[in-house]
Amino acid sequence: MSNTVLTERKEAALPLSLSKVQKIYRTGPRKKGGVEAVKSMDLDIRPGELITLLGPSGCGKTTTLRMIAGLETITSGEILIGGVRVNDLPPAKRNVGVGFESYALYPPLSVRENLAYGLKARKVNDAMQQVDELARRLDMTDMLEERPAALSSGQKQRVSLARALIRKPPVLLLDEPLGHLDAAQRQRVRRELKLLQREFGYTTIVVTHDQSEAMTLSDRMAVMDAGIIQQFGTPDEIFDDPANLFVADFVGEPAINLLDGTVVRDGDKVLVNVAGGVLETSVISAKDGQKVTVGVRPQDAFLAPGVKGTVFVYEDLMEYGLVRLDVHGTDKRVVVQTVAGAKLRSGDISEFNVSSHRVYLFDPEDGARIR
Amino acid sequence: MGTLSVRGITKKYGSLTAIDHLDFDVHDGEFFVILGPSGAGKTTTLKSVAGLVDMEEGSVAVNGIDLTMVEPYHRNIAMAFESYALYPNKTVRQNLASPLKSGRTGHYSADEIEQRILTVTKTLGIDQLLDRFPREVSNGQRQRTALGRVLIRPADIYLLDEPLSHLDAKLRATMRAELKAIAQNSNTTTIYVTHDYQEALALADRIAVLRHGKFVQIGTPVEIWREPIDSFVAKSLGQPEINLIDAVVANGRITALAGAIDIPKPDGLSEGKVRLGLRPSELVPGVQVPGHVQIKGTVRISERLGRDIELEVSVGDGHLIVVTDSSKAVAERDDVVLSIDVPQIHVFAGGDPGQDTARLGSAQQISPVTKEVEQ
Repeated sequence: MSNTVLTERKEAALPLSLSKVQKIYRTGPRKKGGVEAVKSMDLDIRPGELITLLGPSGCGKTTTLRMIAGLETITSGEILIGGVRVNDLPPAKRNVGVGFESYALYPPLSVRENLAYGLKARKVNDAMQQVDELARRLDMTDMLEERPAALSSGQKQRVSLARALIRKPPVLLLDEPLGHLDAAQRQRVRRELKLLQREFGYTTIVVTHDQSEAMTLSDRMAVMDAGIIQQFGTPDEIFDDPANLFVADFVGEPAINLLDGTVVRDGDKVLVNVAGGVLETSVISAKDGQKVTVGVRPQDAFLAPGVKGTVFVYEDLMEYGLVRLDVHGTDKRVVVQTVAGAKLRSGDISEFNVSSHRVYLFDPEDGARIR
Repeated sequence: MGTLSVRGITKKYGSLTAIDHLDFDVHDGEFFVILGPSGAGKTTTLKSVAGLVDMEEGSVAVNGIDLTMVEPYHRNIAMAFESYALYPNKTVRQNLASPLKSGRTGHYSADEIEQRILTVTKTLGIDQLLDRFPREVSNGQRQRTALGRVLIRPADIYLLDEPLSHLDAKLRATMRAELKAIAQNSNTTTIYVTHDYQEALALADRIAVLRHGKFVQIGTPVEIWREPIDSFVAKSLGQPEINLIDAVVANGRITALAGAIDIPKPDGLSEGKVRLGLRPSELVPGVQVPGHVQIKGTVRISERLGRDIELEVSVGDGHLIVVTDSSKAVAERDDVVLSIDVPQIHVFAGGDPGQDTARLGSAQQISPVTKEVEQ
């Protein structure tokens, strides 16, 4: 699969680093006010690595990508691509290829011509073979002769992605590349994107708001909020060892359950009292009497004596079931992922528990993780 | 409270037949979900029941009374549209009150109206937004308000068209549970349209799978999941999709993926081409259960999905997608043995790529009913 016309490349992948990068959008009279969209960001990306910038809208992820691409000025700090400072270089001189959400395709050209355009300009001999192979890989052979106007938004998006890929830039920047695709297509294109990325070896940055897309696609992911990287790590690290409440809550579906609790130290054991019951935790630094926010992932919780609640509803999704419990003594409802076909009815009294190493504690004031 | 009986409804838009002789009954208090991809005819079906389109053929009856010629206004059917139709110049409270003030579903005192608004908005989690205008609330809250406008008035049948589609994933799951609770408690008769199979499984008493304007299968979630009538229905439920692989029946055996799958054929399965369906969550890596089918392969991609991982495993001349919990993780490029229980392997008739074919049974047992259809 890898010895094909498509994957031969001459340029090596490049490292990319951001050092104290800041972006302020000036507003107001004489531009004295300002919105700090990106705050003193440091990020080191290895050659050939695929990273995602993940966060809610307004977190600064797209601004960051646009600064790297050269579509946005940098207020302060510097961006290095392959060790070269690119702050003052125009986009075309930065060694980056971009696939942005607004797919700027040439309307009078067919999809095939759109894809071949850049290759022909560079006098690539086997341009058409490369187009055919990439189209096959991205499941778009049947749209090659169409004009962009005849395509759905999902199809345009694939063309836009293909056009960014086929130029084989040392650094590839993609903004929500799978956003318009339906679930099954997204799965296929995502996987093919990942394989192509590895074969070509592009250093790649993908912006997304979809946590499951970030989890599945990334070598490492940067979870952003309010212009700041909250955590940068592998999907395993982000999910299993979140740095703070924001990361724990943003990543994971269904979302992590959060309860108010009080720490009780009992000999060697560290317990957390939550209304409705007690959980044991392996968080050794928690202090006796400390007020905490307790996080329990639905996938880690199981039905066993621990914390009492009343079944609100049970949903049988055939591969697994979800039970929602109204925790006694609180107004909180927790989600527990359990087996399919469980005999649970609304109104039943049940209890959940969780392994001590899967009980996450956070500072209720600032959301910092207590370890 | 109401029983719906629909017979032979057909609607054409020019040369395109949107729905084609649909028959179905919805029982009193039932939650009936129509599941299908976009363009299948889901919304047209709902509009036909509501009386909002002129049907070419067919009849709609509620509680035994034929409503085919009755104006929508008088049908006592409440419908929520995917695009939330709210009065922009009225507050959430005024929007919710308006269906009760129209007079067509009875007359309500100010106290009764206020009481109903409080109950519905509390259930939908929008009780703190009563005095805001639609433009001052989020998309999700607007959709909940639109849903509230439908649920607030008594009706024989409630029709809900993708009411959760504009919500983000987390809110959608929460609202899905709320809707299930409302349905359980209120004993309303509901037809719910969606393209989201998890919504269908979670909410439905019965699911009707719609394709190209025709019902492919109507059944309980368990029936649809365990015994999908064809490969289209099998693909409609489950994400990632069921693995469908070409196989050959010969010399008393079923073989696929260049011999990586080689199992005895069940009685009643004739020789020739078939297709096997293996659900990603039912393929278990690393654990060799006696009596289960073992499939050897190499992990090509491993991806983390929350506590689960998703593997793409190269097997023979093809590949299989596997979902398992992360404790069974296998590194990329490592060899792996997948296990699956024989009855969990679906057998479908052979067909061209992209063509959907009938389910014949499982690798354990060919369904007698389907065999008759085949003959």
